[in-house]
Amino acid sequence: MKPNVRNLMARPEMAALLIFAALFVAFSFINDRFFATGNMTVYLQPIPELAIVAMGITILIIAGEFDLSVGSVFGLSPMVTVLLMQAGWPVAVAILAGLVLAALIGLANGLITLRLKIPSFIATLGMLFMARSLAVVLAGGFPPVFPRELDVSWLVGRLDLGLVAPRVSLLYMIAIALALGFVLRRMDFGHWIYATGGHPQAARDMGIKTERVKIACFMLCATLAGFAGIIQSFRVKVIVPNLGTGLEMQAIAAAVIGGVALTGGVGSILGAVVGTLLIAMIENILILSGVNANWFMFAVGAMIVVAVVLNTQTRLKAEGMKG
Amino acid sequence: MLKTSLAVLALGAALAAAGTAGAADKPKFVYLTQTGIDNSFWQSIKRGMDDACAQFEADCQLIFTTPNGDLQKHLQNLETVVEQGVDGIVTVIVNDDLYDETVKKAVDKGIPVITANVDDSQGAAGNARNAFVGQDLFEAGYVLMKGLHAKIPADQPIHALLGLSRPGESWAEARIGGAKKFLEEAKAAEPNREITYEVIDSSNDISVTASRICQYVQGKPDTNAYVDAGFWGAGAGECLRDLGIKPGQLHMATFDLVPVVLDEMKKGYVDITIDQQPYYQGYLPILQLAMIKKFGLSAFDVNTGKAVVEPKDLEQVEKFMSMGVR
Amino acid sequence: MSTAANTAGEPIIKCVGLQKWYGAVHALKNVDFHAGRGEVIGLVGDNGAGKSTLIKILSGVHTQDQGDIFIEGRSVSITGPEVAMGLGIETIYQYTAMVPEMSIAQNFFIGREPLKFGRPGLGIVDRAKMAREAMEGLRGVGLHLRGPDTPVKALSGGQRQGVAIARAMHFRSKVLILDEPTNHLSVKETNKVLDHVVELKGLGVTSIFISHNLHHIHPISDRIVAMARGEKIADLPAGEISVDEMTRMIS
Repeated sequence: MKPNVRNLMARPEMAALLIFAALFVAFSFINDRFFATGNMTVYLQPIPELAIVAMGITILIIAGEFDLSVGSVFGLSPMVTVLLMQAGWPVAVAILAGLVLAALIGLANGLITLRLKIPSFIATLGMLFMARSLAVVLAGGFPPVFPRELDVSWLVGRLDLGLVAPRVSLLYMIAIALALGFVLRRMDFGHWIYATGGHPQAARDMGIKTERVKIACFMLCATLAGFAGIIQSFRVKVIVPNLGTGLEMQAIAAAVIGGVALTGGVGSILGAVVGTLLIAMIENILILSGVNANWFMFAVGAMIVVAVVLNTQTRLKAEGMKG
Repeated sequence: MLKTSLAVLALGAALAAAGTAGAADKPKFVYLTQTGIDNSFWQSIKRGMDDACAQFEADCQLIFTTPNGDLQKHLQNLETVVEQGVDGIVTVIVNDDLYDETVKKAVDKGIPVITANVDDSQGAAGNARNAFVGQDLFEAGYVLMKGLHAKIPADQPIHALLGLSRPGESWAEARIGGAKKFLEEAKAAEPNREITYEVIDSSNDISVTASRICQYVQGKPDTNAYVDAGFWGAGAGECLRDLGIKPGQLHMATFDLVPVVLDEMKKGYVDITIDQQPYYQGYLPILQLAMIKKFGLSAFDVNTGKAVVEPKDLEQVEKFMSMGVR
Repeated sequence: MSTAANTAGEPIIKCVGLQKWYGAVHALKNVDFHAGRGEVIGLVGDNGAGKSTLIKILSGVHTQDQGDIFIEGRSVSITGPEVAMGLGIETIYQYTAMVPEMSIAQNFFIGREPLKFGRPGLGIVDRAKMAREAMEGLRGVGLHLRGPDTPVKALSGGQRQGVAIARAMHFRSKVLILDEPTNHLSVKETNKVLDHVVELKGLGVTSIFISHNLHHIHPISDRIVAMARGEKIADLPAGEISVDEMTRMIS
């Protein structure tokens, strides 16, 4: 195998991409309702929301930390945004407030983890409950009503592309993915993120301020989660306190399927997007094929494990080959 | 390892293929719920659905939502099914606005939609669904609280704890809303009696619910009435006994007939439960969809939930529970 | 190979009265230290003697509690690794300070990447320049490796140390601190490292070499500085002491 192809195969997201492409083609042939316009449109709808969270958490995991509170921030930011809009604030400012709150939560996560020196897993687990509780308290028992006449087409309107009609949020997702990918691959800060997670001691000894790098990543992760929550809330035009419950697990699963290493220092934005697409595709196909309700969860879990195993196997094989 | 993975993947592909094979002539009905797979109450509904499907020779699919209660996921599943094009849909509606657009799309496409278990709080005016099969939740909560009120001597104060199992979900809010309404009316009718109540998030995880109830009671020992929005409150029996609370000190009312509720009823801790007859909620919607498909008949509302169950009814009820139909 | 090859004038590093406590432990007790341009100092001592602490202070990982440091006659305050590197002090660690998953070129410039555009922290990296200069730097120390994109984890221990030394040289270090760099290396690789140090000496680079292996240190050092229990117990030209005497002194 030529060195270039081999290097390409060894990249974590490549294996995930191949699996996704293979399954996509396979399912399209096996089940003719899969590749239908209507199904593809529905399939793509929630992708931007989950992918944006997965991208944020991927970057944080690359830097060597975790954030289990993303699901709660996903629900809290839109709750704050909608409440402010109800109180008469202009939409743009209300959204900004929701994002600022998310960033502050990310900052809190970072400071608690790094200054108090407890594992981020624990610090953000606590924040998961605190932020979720805040959302419930703010809702005051009855969730606020979303202003249904509000024009949300700029964020989640439908784009008629003929074969498929995705939401505008897909464009936001692509823009964010390109920007984050650029930061990781082409900017010095991106190198510092990989170094901080890959070998924190070396990063520090070479003069990188690892604490600042991590705090920036915590804030980025939380802000992206908040933005994604606002997108979802605007799309379904509803805000309930439990929006995003359980999302942290899905986001981490998507990140891992996309090739991120839970130990840090390895991962990519493309991987996060592919991981998201893959999980959503698996769920979609299981619904279309009428899998027995009681076995559904089993099937999703099994597919996730298989996807990661294949990913790892392909990468190891590529690395082991002589160049 | 690689070979095993490929084998499992092939299995997955086979499952995917299963959806297309056979089932060409049978009508396809899909039943969706926002609850997760671990809710035992839904097994009774599934039993009713399976029996109806066998009887009417239909191909039925029940879709739970993972993670439990993720309304967006539930909506996503509903949309996927509507796009797929099926012969009939049964779904739970736990939010007044969320599902409106999709239900309308289904009805416009000629797919009849029946809501079951929980309905839009605006009923038929809330969305385009054809009918509702289930319990009048608000009324049920009211009836339960009334029943508990009757058990407490008129000269004693009432301090009630209301367990809102899932804040924000309409079924829980409605049931507790009904209980609250009764208490407000009681306060107005008995101005000289001390009647107070508090609402807590009691969770729909039975061990968490039990823990929260017992901690509350420890802090407020004069609590003498509890209404749960579901069946989970019955789980508190154990820890109440540990606290030394005797039967009759704290009167509990729950919903549904599940083993833990009957057990605690026998032990004297649960005074009343109300059966919403899940078998009907599984069976009747399918019956309606089959009739609509076959003969073009119309859908009709059914209130399945007026069966109040007290300790005196236990023996008969248990017989049917062992058959899995109640 | 001891010579009196010190250039006349100011020592390049001068430390006066360094003190450091780690909690209750008095790790450095009033230590003076100096090194001249192009000198190779062999820093020896048993575990806990304080040599690690001394060089950690020089490389910016820790700060002294008391005492002054002068670099080329100027008083300095080394508050972090980037300050030390800015002063021309590069450290070769035992563990090589490389991120295994990242490439040779990336590791070469980690923390001080050349930018095409922007400021450090918000800069777009000049990848072409990194690749070119990394390979040049490697050739300069006689290392011929596959390519700048090879992940460092694919290199042997000795090759990684070679890259570390090439990195230090590229950034025009005035002082090279080598902290037990040969511990996990084969005989051949060790000799290569020692040869590099001698070469660097010829280019006017000062080296402070720590090793447990006195047979390695002795032949290449100009001066031996010995420490024990936080104090400097000896400071003399290498020619005036034998390996056996060194061993006795520090144990």
